Amino acid sequence: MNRVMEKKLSDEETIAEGFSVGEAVRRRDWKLLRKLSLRPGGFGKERFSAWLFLVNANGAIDDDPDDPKLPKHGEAGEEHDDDSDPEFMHPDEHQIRLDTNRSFVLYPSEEQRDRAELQSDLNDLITTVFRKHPRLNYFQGYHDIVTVIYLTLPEPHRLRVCEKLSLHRLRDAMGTGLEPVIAQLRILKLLLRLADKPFSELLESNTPLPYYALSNLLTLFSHDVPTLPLIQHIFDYLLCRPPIISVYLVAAITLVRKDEALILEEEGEDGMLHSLLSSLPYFSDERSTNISEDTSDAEVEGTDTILNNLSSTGCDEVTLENDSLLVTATNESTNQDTDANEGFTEKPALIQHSEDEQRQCINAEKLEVSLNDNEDLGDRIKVDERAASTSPGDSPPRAQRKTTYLPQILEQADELFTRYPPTHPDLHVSSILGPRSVVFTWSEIQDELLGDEEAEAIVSQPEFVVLAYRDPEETDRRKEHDRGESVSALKPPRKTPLHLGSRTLLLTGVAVAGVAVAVYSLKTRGGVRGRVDDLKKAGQWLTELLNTQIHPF
Amino acid sequence: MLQKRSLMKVIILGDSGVGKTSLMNQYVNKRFTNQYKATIGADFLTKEITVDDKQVTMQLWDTAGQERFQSLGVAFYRGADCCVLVYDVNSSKSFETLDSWRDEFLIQASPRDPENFPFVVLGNKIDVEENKRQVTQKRAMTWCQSKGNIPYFETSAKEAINVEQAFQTIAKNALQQQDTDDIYENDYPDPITIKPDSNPSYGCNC
Repeated sequence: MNRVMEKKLSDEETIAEGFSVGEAVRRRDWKLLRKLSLRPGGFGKERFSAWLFLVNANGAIDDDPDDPKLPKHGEAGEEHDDDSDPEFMHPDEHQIRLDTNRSFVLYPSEEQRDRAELQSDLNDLITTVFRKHPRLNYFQGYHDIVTVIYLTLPEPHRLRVCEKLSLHRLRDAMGTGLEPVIAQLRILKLLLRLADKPFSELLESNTPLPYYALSNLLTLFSHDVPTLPLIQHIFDYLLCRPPIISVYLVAAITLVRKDEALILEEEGEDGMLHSLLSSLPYFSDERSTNISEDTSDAEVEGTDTILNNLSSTGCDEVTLENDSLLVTATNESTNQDTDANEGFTEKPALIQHSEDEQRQCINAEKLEVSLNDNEDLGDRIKVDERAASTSPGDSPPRAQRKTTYLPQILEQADELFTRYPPTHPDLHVSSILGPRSVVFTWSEIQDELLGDEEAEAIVSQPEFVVLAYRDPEETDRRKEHDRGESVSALKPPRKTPLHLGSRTLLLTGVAVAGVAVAVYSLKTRGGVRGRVDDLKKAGQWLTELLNTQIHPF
Repeated sequence: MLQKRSLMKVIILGDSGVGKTSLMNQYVNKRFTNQYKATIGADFLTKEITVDDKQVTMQLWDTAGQERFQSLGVAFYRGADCCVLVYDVNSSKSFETLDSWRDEFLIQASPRDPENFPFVVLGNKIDVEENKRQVTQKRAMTWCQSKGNIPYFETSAKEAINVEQAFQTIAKNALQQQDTDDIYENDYPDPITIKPDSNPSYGCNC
């Protein structure tokens, strides 16, 4: 069976010019790796070498296991089990312990009995990262990211990969506050407006910022993706692209749930949009045509079904659907014993084909043809919108439990990136994020990356990571409706003015021609840090930005 | 025939790991597992309940406990009808931070009448052995009295002790708060119609 699979994989590699992941790494060919990351299963067995390369963690491992700063192994689940010198302890270690004690919930299921041991190892790994880089701050959800690293890479490489990933990709989120991820939400909102204006209006009427995406953006999807092979594939995809690609992937996932969102709106349940969109669709990493009809649920349509869907996504009820009857299996389904599809052998795809859905499938096929023919992307997007929208006269596309083909979503995120790159003027990326954000400091060229020390120092300069950006449309709407920033709770928000927290000080930061006045809200009391040299840096950054094309493809 | 229901919004706050998600799930889904993940950001469950012969949809917002997520309060707290403050009776620190959780809530939710806004305090994890307990009932009740007689319950999400009773009080106080607000705000449109559903519906259990 494995040989058959290898043959199949190698056939698919012809798309990627006949090269394997290993060869792409040897050639330091990012473009090829990006193509290979789109294959079902991603990098598969060659993931290990690819990740080391992609996070620039190939160097020698020189950590001293007897370093007094590093945590000593202790009993699982106990606090203060570490006899390290308190001087070296990181202030976030208590929170880290609380979260690692709640880790390994979704996977790996076959090792449940060793859960406490895994948690203890994970805690040591994370604690070591923070003791080595004390200026980094821990955020809840970081432990989900490190769980994926832990389960993917062998022991001697985990620490280095976590350090590099933290310093050069996750750094924005490792300051003291949430401002950088809120900034990403702003960019996401603008991206959704570009990609699908009417849908974005529905979403914005529910919540002025797409808060539902917070967990996925913060944790690189690792908090909610239900199986290890799927999240590994998503990491394959993300790691060979610039850090901002997460925003595009969230946007693609949001757009694919448009039908479900419209049903909620139609049924007056738009208050549930937050729950719908903060959960993930059922992903599959094989192009399955398995059709399952859950006869017991066939009559139960509409919102209830979606709500059931929600409850089982990323939660401990994920196996509830296992009893469903598998009606049709095609030759594709014989591939289920590959590593990449692990987890889906247990959970067959649940698809109820409504007429609308079938129409969409046909449209989707047409779309693929048009992509392969290199037709204008604009046409493709237009067709996409038509396929996804439902006219009021149609019978609503109810009870959709469709499985979303992961590689297709990843390609859709790439298409969004190509069509609306971060340099697109309407995304305002350089007005929302500062010059020291990972979005601007990250590079696939090793020599252009910041040094580790320099990168760590940036977390104490938050005013150069996030700028104050006011969305003109948002401001107008607020004036019109005086609605504040609350997430819809199925009723209108209180008509009281927005009240800024007493801890929130608005501090003037940098002001550069062509860039909106940079204001950064700092939680701590601090002075205005608009020093002359910083201003110079910001000016230089702007020039660089104007001269640089951020384009991975 | 659709039936109009009103909706109440309840926010659950407290330090990381005190059992906010567990309490909410015990109340809504009647079950406990020690396999809840840490909550990132915020999410909610809803439950259809009857209070004083009124049918109400209770929307319970579960929030992340780490301090950095407090800045999301402006987005999530507004429009709340009741705030539940949870601490772990086996952790003094989680009790001592109740003050700042309460203050931060009032700042960010900016209720019309902060003095009389309904809070309920839950001292959770009373199932843990007695010698681990760090906060006495007396100490907790003294604090609650000093903050305008906040109702106080000692609960165990694990063993379903006092959870139902606590949430009944939460529901009553939230409803009362809505009635008070209605006196202020007659210009509110009717509550949005919600499809009747006898089962609890929920967002995410994580």
